[in-house]
Amino acid sequence: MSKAEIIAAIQKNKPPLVPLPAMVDYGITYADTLSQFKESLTSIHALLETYSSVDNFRQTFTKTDQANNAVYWQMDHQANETINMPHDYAHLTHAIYQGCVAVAENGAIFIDFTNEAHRSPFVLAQNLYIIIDQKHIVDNMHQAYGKINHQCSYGVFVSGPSKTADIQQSLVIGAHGVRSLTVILIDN
Amino acid sequence: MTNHAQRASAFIHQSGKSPWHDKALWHVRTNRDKAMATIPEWEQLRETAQQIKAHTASQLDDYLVQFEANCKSNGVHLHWAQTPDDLNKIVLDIARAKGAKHIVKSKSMLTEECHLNEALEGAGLIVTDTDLGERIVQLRQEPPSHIVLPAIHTTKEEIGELFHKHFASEKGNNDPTYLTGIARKALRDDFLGADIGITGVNFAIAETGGIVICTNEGNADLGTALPPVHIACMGIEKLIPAIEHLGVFTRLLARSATGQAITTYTSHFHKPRRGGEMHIVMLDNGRTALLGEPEFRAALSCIRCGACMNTCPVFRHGGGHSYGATIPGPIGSTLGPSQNIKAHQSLPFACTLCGSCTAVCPVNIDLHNQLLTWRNRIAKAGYVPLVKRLTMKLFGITIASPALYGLANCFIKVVAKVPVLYRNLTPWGKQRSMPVAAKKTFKTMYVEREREQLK
Repeated sequence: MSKAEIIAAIQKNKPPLVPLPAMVDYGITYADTLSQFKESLTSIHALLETYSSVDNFRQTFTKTDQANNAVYWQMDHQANETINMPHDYAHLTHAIYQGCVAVAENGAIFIDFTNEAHRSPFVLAQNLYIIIDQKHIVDNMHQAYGKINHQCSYGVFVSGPSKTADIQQSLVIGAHGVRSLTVILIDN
Repeated sequence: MTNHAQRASAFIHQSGKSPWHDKALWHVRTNRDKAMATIPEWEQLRETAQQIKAHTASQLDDYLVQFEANCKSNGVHLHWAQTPDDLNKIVLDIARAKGAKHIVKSKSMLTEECHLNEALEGAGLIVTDTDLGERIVQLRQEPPSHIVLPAIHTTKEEIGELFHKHFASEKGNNDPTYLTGIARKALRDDFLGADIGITGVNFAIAETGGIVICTNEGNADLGTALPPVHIACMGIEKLIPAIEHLGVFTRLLARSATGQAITTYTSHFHKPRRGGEMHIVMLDNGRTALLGEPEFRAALSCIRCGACMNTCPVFRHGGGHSYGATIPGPIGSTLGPSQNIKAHQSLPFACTLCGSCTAVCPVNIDLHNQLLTWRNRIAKAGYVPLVKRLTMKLFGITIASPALYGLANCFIKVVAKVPVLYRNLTPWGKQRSMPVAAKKTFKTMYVEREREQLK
């Protein structure tokens, strides 16, 4: 039984107890959190659009939406529940999600998938949109971890479109996941 | 069998890649410095990270048991493996039980350590590595040369040729954007057709039974959102106590690795996807033994950022393959001998003891001290070559005797005047010229000064 042997070996070899450091709040804070967030978005190759409300964004998006686009709206829970397989999203052009918390120091936004029928639209779509309320931007990762759902079945801090520099260190946007990320900032 | 120095020499003198390899990695190191400079509390973060890891190691048995209980309540299957063979068998058994044929895999140095691909392929399964760099080295039929940048030793021309052969890309088109697009297209089909997704683990959270996987490409997310089975493979040292500690590690990892503020995808998994199954396999393979080594146990804190490789002059010039170990570079040179002292005896001796690895390590591992300690151990174990052993012995006798020391001084003056002699007596002299010896030795000057004062 491997478990018993591994545990026994640890008990035999582990050093005396080292105390766990207290998590004091020493993370960086910014005088202007919003403008730092915008600056971080630029550095991670994300685009930014600002709207007064989610409805306002949806109306504008739907108006310019082309007929041949396949769009996934995370907020349309009932419709999404009718899809059988995660593979059925293979030809998505756009996926639109609601972010929970955004981080100024690195431009990352957390998406919680706990109530989603499928996780795949998020990475199968060619273009990703994340809606985030301006009120939900924090300075640093310590604060962000204080706000996210610690039991999320699956949850991701996303910062920008997927990328790689594996071919001779040249940065290429659009590796396996989305080719573009647009952050929809709700400023009302 | 060749040793590290001989293999590094081949990379430097035969491949012609050494200068740009050096430059590319130094560029990554520079990016790391820039990212670090934006965080005033950087040193505090490193210390906290070091303490969290040291604490976890000192209570690892409790944390592993807690992690297992929480995985169970999340509906995740947890497996324990003592050896690479155990791990490979567990994965293979799951694959067989599911009738799986095709597996997609995202980056995991641990599965490299276990040679999992070979074990699965030997059983008739198709395994596709999905990280672009890993896919490149898989097609080249070689191991990764760097833990974060697996194909850093290859040129775009070589990759263009490789993709032309395997994916029928345009011959002679070596544009990185074009080639990445080709790989994206080919791998999409692999993701959509896979029966199982295998991933590594960056951090495992005892308090919640969750795991965190960090990628830039999104391949771990695709590889787990589509196939019905997810198998995550991890070393037992990946545990951290609670989710709040991720604040510390996610701030350090990408900045140290590539100079990014955070990886593009930092993904937290607690439960399988709907209708799916999730397994976690935890491996020992010498880690519990390393825990019992006070001088080396800090190496278990490593978060695999690769910063020590990017800064190391030996790694940058000699290339990752020269180490002949799963994990190369400074961290690999201390982990290697702990796994197999005989096979990896030459690694700690390549170090110049400049200490740059220790200075950049995000969890403050005393890497260069460990390498020095390893030299001592390796010498005591009798693995130092006879010539070196005798030379060191002779050196010891010489500096212990004033008469012999004086004689040696005269000898050095002669050697200095005959460069051919210096070049051929020691490999160190091959690319170096001997400094000009002082006309008078310190001893002579001291005696003369004493005499002056007496006058």
